[in-house]
Amino acid sequence: MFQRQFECPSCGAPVIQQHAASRSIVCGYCHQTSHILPAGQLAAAGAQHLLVDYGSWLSIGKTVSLAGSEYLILGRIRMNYEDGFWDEWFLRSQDGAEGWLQEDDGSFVFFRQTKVLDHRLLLDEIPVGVRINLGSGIGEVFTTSKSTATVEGGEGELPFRIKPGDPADFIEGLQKGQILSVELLPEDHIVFTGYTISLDQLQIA
Amino acid sequence: MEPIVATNSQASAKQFSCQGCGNALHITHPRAQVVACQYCGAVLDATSETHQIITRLGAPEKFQPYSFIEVGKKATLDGKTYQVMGRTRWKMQYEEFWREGSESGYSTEIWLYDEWLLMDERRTYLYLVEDKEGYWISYEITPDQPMTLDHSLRLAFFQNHGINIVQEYGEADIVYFEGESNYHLHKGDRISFASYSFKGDMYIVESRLNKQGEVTEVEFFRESPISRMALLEAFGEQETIQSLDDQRVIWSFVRLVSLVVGVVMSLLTILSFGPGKTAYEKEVMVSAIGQEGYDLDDFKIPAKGLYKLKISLNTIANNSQAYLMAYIMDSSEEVLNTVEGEFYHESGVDDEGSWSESELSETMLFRAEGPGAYTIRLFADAGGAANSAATVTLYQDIMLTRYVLIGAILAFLIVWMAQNRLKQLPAYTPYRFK
Repeated sequence: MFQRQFECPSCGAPVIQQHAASRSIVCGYCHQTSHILPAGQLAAAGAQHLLVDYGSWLSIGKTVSLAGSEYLILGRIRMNYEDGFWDEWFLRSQDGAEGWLQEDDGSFVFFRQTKVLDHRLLLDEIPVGVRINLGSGIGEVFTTSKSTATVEGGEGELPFRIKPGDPADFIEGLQKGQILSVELLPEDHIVFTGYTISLDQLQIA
Repeated sequence: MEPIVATNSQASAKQFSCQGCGNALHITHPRAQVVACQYCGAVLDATSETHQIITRLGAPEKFQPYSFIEVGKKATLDGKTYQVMGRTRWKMQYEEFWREGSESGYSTEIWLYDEWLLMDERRTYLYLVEDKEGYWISYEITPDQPMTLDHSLRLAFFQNHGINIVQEYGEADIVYFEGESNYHLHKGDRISFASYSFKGDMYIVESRLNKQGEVTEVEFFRESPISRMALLEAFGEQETIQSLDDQRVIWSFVRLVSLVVGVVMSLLTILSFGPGKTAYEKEVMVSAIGQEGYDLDDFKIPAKGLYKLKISLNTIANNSQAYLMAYIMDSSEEVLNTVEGEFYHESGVDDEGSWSESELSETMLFRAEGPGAYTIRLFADAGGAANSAATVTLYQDIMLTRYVLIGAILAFLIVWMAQNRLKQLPAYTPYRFK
């Protein structure tokens, strides 16, 4: 089992990485977000930020059963936007499958990364409520919303670099009865596909 | 260093003063985005420390709830306990589909409805829609054929629904808000919507519009009706349920009694068309009736009541007239009532062929004030009935048709009224969560 220990660049506390592919990790003591550098060091990113607990049933270290697989919750990222905020919980199963559980006002969507777009989208040019062709083998998507959010902060470890305060654009849509989310990150435009799931269906342990 | 488990501070109930009127406000929902002041109606930001006023909507006293649901009340639905967190009143201006025979179209309507936000102990939400016609539970859905309204005025979110005529489409905006909301309210926010019905549920596409009228979000909902009784039970309104049950029993009883009375009165109405029972009958030759009249034999009237006196001629010469009059008198020869008739028989031939017309009898109702001996005096102007016989008949057990008919109508009106009251009383239909 992979495990690597760092020293938090902010407070010096031990920070343990459990997932080899993680790119960001948040100190459990001072809540400093750090990027995991290829050289095996941590670089502080943004200010320390403690995510307020609004009574979620999920937390780092718990497991959830989804679609017959058991996932360990490794991290979360909280996004702020004009209507409030939502949390994205980063999940990883024992066989290495990764997923994201989006928690927004008591509703949950389980996402899996499906594609990385081979071209760039401009949020301003994406209309909402119409069918657009995303290309890259994805095809037609009915857009349901777009938003510019801000990374409020993170917890645990995450598979990409985050920095509290950074903006992030999102496009959501529907395709063949599934929910599609396109995250317009500076590095990549990543497409996730998912479906809604109720709290009753999540077997949280 | 020992590892420490991160203990994030948990958001809890907050108390602060309204920026508008200074009254004390509480936020009980940790994820509340906005909170309304129940005194001045100001809507405040629940997330910041300053709690600035976002917008001012209508005064609370102008937007009372339609029924028993109130912010703060608890309900048990689908085995979960919910608390009512907030209420948003929407005003919509829309086009409503109508069909009459082979014609159809849309009429412009204005309607108000409340959207109640309920939260359970696990912080999942339920949206309850209420208007003056009923209640619906609203669910967000993921359609397999997402679409918005276009000029065809047809929608089909799901392949198995086929293509459906849009029942309603238009725009809505918020006119009032109370309690707390898990989503932000923005001044000037509007939604446009279109809906169709399928198997008793409404399927709605809702587009949120910004101030420039651009679509910023599209959501799809299914609204499923829930009966008032099911909600009363969910909210534990036992007193109201008992009162409604009592009303149901009373109105059912009124309906049954009125129905029985109505049926009896109807039968009596039919019977009242009959002549009644003959109490006395006498035939006199018209030629025997002199100038001073002709007194028939005395007869006894057995009891106080309504009687019918009939005078008739058995025949009259063609194209002639005769006149008969009868007094009914008591033993002191006081005239109680009179019946008279101009009798005739006419016939001829015109363009349509031969015709004849005659009037040979006349009746009169009278009320006898008590039993006793009575007599009838006949007068006649024989005319063409000189060789005819006049018959005087007295009928007893007479019912006035108009009275029993009015009674029957009134009874059936009460049945109809009771039936309507029963229909208005909420029926209990168990709600199945989907």
